[in-house]
Amino acid sequence: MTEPQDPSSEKRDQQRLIQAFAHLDRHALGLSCGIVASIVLFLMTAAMTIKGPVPCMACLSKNALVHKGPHLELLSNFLPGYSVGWGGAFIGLGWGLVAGYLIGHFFAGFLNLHHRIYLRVIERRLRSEALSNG
Amino acid sequence: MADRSPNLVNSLARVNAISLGVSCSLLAAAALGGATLVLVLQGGRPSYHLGLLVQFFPGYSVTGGGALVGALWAGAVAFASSTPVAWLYYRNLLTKLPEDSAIARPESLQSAVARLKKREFAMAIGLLTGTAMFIATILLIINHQPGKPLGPHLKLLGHFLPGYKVTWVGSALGFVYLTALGGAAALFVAGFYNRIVGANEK
Repeated sequence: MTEPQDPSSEKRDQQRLIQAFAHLDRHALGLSCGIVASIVLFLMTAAMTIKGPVPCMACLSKNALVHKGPHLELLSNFLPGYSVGWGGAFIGLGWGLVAGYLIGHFFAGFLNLHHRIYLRVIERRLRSEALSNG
Repeated sequence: MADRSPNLVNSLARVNAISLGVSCSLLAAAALGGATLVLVLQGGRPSYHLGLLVQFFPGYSVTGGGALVGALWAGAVAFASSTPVAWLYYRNLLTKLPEDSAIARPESLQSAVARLKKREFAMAIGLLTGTAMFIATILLIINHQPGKPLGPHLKLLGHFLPGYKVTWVGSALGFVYLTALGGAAALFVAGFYNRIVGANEK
């Protein structure tokens, strides 16, 4: 026979269940990730832009200059229009928002979906147990 | 009176940690698989730099098959790294129930919207990013072949993180930097998120 539970403890357990399975707001998480990602990308691009161009070691012309961020610029393979410069920094601001939003949105979506599936499975198991117990 | 709380907290933390690990895993797999396929479709030289991930993910390459290998690696690494951190976060969250949160009011599971605990979330993400940086640096040092440059691309992070180098000391410094930066970013994400959720509820 199971012991009766303290009512206040039972209430805390209910709160824990709600806390554990409360769903994440997809739009809110997407937006907050987007804002942070865009600020990070902007700051990184701005830092490289402020450092300015350096002499190119591999170029044919001795006076040729290249930006310090040739590797950061490779992001343009994924973010069209992005470059290491002030214009690119602002384009990066927009792309960071979009990419961050998508990451946050899908992450919250996956997590909520997993919770829903888990709760559905538990619900079915409890129902079948109740039926088998009469 | 019986108290089931420790068992309940452990079970809920485990379930949530696995949920979060699976979500991170899917997202990381889609991100690396997708990025690889984009480069495969573009073709040419840009694939060289992403191909350097082979130093961390054996078998990975910027090809159609490599995209699958990369997705599997990214998924596995994301799951293995995020699950323990998520377990710590949820254990903390469920052990110390906040008095002022939505859960203090009677709410159903369907309508409850989660709030992020800023400090714990920042600590979890900071720890995750710091450890990732530490391990990445260490792996490059361990796998270094004499006569070849040591971590020429990762060391470029020194542009943003003053003093960072691909050395043993650099790995510790990278851990500190990324823990602080990842934690700060997570603090902002949690702050924005809680504000937006709060504004939506009004």
